Amino acid sequence: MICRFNKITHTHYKHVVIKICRYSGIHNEGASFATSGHPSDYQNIPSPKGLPVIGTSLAIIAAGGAPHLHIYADRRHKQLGPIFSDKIGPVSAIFLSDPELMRAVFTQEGKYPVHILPEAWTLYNKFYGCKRGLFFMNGAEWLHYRRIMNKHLLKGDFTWIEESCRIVSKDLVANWKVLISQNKILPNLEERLYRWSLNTFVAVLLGRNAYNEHKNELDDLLEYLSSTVHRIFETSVKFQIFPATLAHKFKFKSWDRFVKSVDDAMKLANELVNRLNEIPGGDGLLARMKSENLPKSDITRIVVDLVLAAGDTTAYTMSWMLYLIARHKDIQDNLRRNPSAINLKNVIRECLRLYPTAIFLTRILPQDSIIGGYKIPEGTLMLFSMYTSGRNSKYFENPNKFLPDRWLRENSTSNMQQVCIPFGFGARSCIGRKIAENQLQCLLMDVINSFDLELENNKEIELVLKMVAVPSEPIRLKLNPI
Amino acid sequence: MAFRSLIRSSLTFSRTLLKANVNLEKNCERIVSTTIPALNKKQVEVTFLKANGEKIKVKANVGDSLLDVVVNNSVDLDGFGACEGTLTCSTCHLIFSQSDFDQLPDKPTDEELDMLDLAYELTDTSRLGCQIILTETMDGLQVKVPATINDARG
Repeated sequence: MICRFNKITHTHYKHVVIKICRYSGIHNEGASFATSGHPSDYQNIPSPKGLPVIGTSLAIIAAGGAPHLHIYADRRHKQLGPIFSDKIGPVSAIFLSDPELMRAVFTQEGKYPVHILPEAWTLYNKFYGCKRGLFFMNGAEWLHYRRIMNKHLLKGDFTWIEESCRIVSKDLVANWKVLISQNKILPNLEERLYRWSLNTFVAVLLGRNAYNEHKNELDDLLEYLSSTVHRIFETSVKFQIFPATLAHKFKFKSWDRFVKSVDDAMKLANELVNRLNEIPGGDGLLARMKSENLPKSDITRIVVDLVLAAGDTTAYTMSWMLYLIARHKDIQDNLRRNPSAINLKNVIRECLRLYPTAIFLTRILPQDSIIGGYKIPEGTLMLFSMYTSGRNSKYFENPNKFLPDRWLRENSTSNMQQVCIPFGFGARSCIGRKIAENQLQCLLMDVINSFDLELENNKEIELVLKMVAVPSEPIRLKLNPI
Repeated sequence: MAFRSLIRSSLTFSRTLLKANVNLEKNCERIVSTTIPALNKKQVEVTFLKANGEKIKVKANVGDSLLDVVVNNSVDLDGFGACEGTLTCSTCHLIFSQSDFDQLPDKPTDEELDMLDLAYELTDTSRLGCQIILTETMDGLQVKVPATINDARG
């Protein structure tokens, strides 16, 4: 869930050494790794031909601009192979799409893995002196808080998380049943799923019973917060195309709008956490964090960031999943007949293969390393092209088809597991993974048990990159009660 | 009669108190004993066989995971257990002998198998150390630590 920021567009990181793009031209079409033996120099990594200064920006714009960066990277991988270097805006990066290469980077990430942060957010934090949550922390400070959160969110028994997810899922389905009594087309799916995602996180924070008791009194605040967070999403999308540093320097309206939306959302999220803190008798994540003797200010900054990050990632994944099962009637019927945990999990996994929420996973190399036979210097930004790797016919038969059964253990291969890691891998993987998986599973199960889904959109919906993988047009579902 | 019953009940009461005291003592003892594991906890011997041939033999507490054993004994295995037992990596990959593997009480979960797929030198008798909880019958266990964890270092 927190991985919403794992996108790459116009971003900047202080350790990223800005290098002049190489114009060495295309090395061997479809070349894979450097030949074995002595490692080859960094300069020999295949890179696209581009014009000086402009670099490859023109080619990206030709591919449809930043919302289609994954299409651009996909073409480059087809042309240059599983590893290529490129300059996207001000940042030079190495793109990887092969499981061996990704695995090699993970072995190098060290005790305190570092990912890239959206430039607009780091600027905001710097100018407003804002102390932020796990996603923005690094080094020993990050590990300290991550360990505490690991204990509750990724270790031990997850029944308490499941119970919180279940109650919100049941509420949503009951609400949908009322909504479709007049017209069977469900209005504003996107907003409804966003609100569901936010409610789920609040239920996890409070615990099932306290949430159930107090959910009505929180309704207005949550509705307001939900629309405000969505505004941040829209204002930061602007900086996919335009560097935030320039917008800030020249006092562009887009920067002011971004600052206003973040201010509003942070204020509301803080208010929410204060309200939740006052509710007695909770046994959810908040109570668990308090039992760790964390100062209130630390609890607040971590929880506020989780609230901001938890929404759209899970909401959009759920949208894609409903889209897919509405489109594939046979799979929907099969799942309804046999909604076993393994079948539900495989639908989720297959959905995330086709529509990876975080389209590019990022790491910054903490030391000089040899990846794919090339010497790559410390500080280099590595991007994992999840869209390309997930749809590679080398690892997936009929790669563009939605076939959840390919993940049954008897059908799957190690390579499939290695290239399809939607929650990331290792110490810095998604902290909200268990919450996300439980909430997706609960709602998927409740939806297929309550409705027969039909898709109203006529043409195939495309994936576009707006911070996370979102549908190119609103998904319209027709729900027939069962 | 009333007096007798009073005595009886006060006797029961003091007995309960006494029991409570004993329980309290027992509890205290238990709490203390976890800080001195060698005294009361059952221990077994575990050997880690590194790829360079080095053998590291340690005493380990029953009930601990093999990842705990590495951490608690500061066994020098670079990069081992990076995700600290959250099942999000495969750096605590260990290779068992066939007979030890067959006798492990719990079969791997799907989540463990998914992570094992990302491990180097995967074998049919591979497991993640964070998922193996030591029992008394595992005394003398020897496990192999795969070599390739850090071979991409430049």
